[in-house]
Amino acid sequence: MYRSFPSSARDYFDAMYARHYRHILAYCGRRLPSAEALDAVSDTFLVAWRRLDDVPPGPAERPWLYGVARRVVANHHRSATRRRQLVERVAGDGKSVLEAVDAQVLRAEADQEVIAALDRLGEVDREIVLLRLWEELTHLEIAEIVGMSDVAVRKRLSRARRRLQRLLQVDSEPEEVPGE
Amino acid sequence: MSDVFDRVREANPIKDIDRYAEVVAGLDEQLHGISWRERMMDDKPRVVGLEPGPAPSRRRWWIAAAAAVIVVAAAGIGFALGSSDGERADAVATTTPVTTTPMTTAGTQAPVTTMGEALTPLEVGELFMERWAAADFDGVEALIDQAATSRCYDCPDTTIWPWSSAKYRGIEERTMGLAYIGGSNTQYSCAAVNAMVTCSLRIDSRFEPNDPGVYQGSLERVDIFTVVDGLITHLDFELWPDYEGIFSVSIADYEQWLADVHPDEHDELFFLGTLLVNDRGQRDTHRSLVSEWAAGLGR
Repeated sequence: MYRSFPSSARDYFDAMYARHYRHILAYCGRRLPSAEALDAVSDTFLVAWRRLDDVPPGPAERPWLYGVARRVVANHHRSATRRRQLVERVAGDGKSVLEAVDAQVLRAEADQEVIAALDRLGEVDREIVLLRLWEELTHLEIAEIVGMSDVAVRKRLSRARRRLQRLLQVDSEPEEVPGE
Repeated sequence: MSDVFDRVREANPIKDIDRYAEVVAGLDEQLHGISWRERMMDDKPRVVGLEPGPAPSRRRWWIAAAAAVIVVAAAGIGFALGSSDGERADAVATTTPVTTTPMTTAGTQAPVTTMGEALTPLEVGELFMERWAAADFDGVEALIDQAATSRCYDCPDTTIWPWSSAKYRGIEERTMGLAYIGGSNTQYSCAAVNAMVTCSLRIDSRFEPNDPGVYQGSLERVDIFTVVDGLITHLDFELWPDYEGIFSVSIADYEQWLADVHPDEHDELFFLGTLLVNDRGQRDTHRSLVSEWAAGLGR
C-alpha cells in the first residue's frame, strides 16, 4: 500500500504510472483502436488513483492494474462512439500520426484466421490465452486478474489450446507453454 | 511445424510496446489539440427544449448540443414538410426533469392509448423512460412496434422487439447495471418535434458503501425515438461513456462478491459478466443483495 512508502501518495502514483504505463497501454492497444486505448489507459489509472489504498504492493501491482484495465476495456467496447468520431476528424487534421499508429497494429491483420479463431473462444478463455501469450503473465497473475485459481487457469488454457487446434486445424503436437 | 499457441503469439498486434507507446504519444497530443479547439469554437450549449440536470457536468453540453441539433434539424424538416401542407411543425418539450429517487415506483402495464387515441410522441417517450426506471419491461415492450429497429454501429440496424432480447437492452444493463439497482439518482427530460422525441437521461451513482469516491460517478445517455401512431418504430441512442470506469468496476466488484458469497444467485443474476435484470423481481433481488454487499463493505 502506498502508505507504507515514505513518499507521498502522488509520488507513489507517479512511480506506479511510470512502471506500468507502457504495459497497460499495450494491453489496451491490443484490444481497442489506438485512440480509444489512450482513453482506456487514462480511465485505468484514474481508477487506480482513486483506489490507491486498494492497490496491492509489489509484484501484484501490475496484475491489479490489468484487472482494472480489463473492465475498462470492456466498457470502452460498448461506448466508444464519440471518441471514434473524433478520430475520424483527425483525418482532416493530418493523417500522419494515425497512419503511423495504424502501421503498428496492422501486423495483426496478417493473421486474421487466428484472430477469428480467438473470437470463437469463450470470453474468459480468450482473455486467459491473451494474458498468457500477449501480456506474458504467469498463471498466478492471470488467476488474480480473472478471479479464479491458478489450477483453473491452467485447465482453461489447456482447453483453449485444444479448441484453437481444432479451429485452426494444426496437426502438430502442442509444445509445453513456458511456465506450465 | 508450429504450435497453435505460437501462431497466437505471432498474431500479437503490438510486439514492441516501447515503440507503440512512442507512436501513440503523438496521437494523444493531436487528439487533445482537436478537442481543445472544438471546445473553444462551441463553448456554449445550444439547448432547445431540454433542461440541464441539476448537477453540472463537464460533458453535459455534448448532450444538450446533440439534442439541440436533432431537435432543430427535425424542426427544420418538419417546417419544410409542414409548409408544403400549410401546417407548422409542432415542437413540444418537457420543462422539468423527472426525478425517480429512489426508484420504487411500481410500474404498471398502462395502455398505449388515452381515451382510445394514440399517445403523443412526447407521452410515449416519457412513458418509456418512466417504465424503464420502474423496471416495468412489459410496459416498455408495449410501447414498441414489433418491427421497430435500433441503430447498430458497424452492422445493419438491429431489431428491438421483443425487448427482453434486444441488444440495446443488453448494453444498458452492462453499463448502467449497478447505478440502476444500487440506489442512484436517475433524471430524464424529453423534447419532441413531430414524430421525433429526444430524451436525455443522467444517472449519478450515489452508491457509497464506505469510501467516498470509490463508486461515485455519472453516466449520460440520449435516446432518440421515432414514434408513429403511439408506438416506437425506431430508437437511436448515444451513450456518454463511464469515463472513470466507476460503473463497470462496481458491477465487477459486486459480481465477484456474489460469486463468492451467493454462487447460486450469481448464476441466476449474471451471465458471462453481464448483469441480468429481466423483470422487477430480479431487480429487487439485486437491490437486496447489493444492500447486503454494501453493508459488508461498510464494516
